[in-house]
Amino acid sequence: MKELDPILHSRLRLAIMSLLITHDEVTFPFVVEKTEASRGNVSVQITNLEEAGYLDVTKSFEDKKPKTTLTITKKGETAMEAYTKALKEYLNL
Amino acid sequence: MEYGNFDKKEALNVIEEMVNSSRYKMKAEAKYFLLWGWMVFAAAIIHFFLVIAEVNNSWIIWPVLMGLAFIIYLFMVNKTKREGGSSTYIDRVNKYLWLGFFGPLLVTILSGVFISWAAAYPFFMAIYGWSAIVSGGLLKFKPLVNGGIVSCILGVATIFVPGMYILLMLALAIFAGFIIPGHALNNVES
Repeated sequence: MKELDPILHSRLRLAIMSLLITHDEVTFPFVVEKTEASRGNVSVQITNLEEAGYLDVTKSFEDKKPKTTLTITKKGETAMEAYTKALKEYLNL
Repeated sequence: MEYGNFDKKEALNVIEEMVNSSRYKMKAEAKYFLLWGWMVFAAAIIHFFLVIAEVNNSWIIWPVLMGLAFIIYLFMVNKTKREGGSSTYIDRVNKYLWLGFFGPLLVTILSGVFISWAAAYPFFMAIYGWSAIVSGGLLKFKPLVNGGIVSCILGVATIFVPGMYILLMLALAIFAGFIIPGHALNNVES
């Protein structure tokens, strides 16, 4: 049986990627609100996912306020597909 | 939510929980249908009674109420944007549907001004109906699709309706296509 991707097999990273797979884009506060995790923890995990090439981070300004936007990459989509497929195999779904 | 080690069953729950929390908020769409629906309805009915009362330039009610609706609409969009933080595929398609709606709407208004209002009104109803059908299909919300179909049928019927009664047909079409589905959308659970 195929091993589960260790980058995705973490509750917070998986939660972030699950949000991204259902959205075109999300903002940093949106991720914090939905995951109910601390801003620091979310920030660290976003950096890990970005370094793995699973998501893109765009920093911009809106109404003179900094805005961080996250989008899933093609590599991230493929990884999530493989992860959910492997998960279903493990759970015999 | 706890963020320690977790097993495979929990992993599935995390995915499910996040996907469910991101479900499209259909209720958020209701306010736009109700705003435009009631404004167009009011303009059509007021225009009808102004015509009966033989008031000069009774058409002025349209730019007044539509201008007011547009200002309120901009406030609503701005507020939603501030409260937002995410954008789904449905958001994007819906946005371009309604942006695209202004093209045929403008052509119909200009046709009314320069050719004939009697010929333009059925097109208004067809455009409203078409937008409601597409939006209803996207949201998987049957009352909106049905309302759009009724609006299109009323558009066809209006071709055979004489004079000022066309305004009542328009009011009826917007009531069926926007107002009834708008209130129904407002009452949905998610």
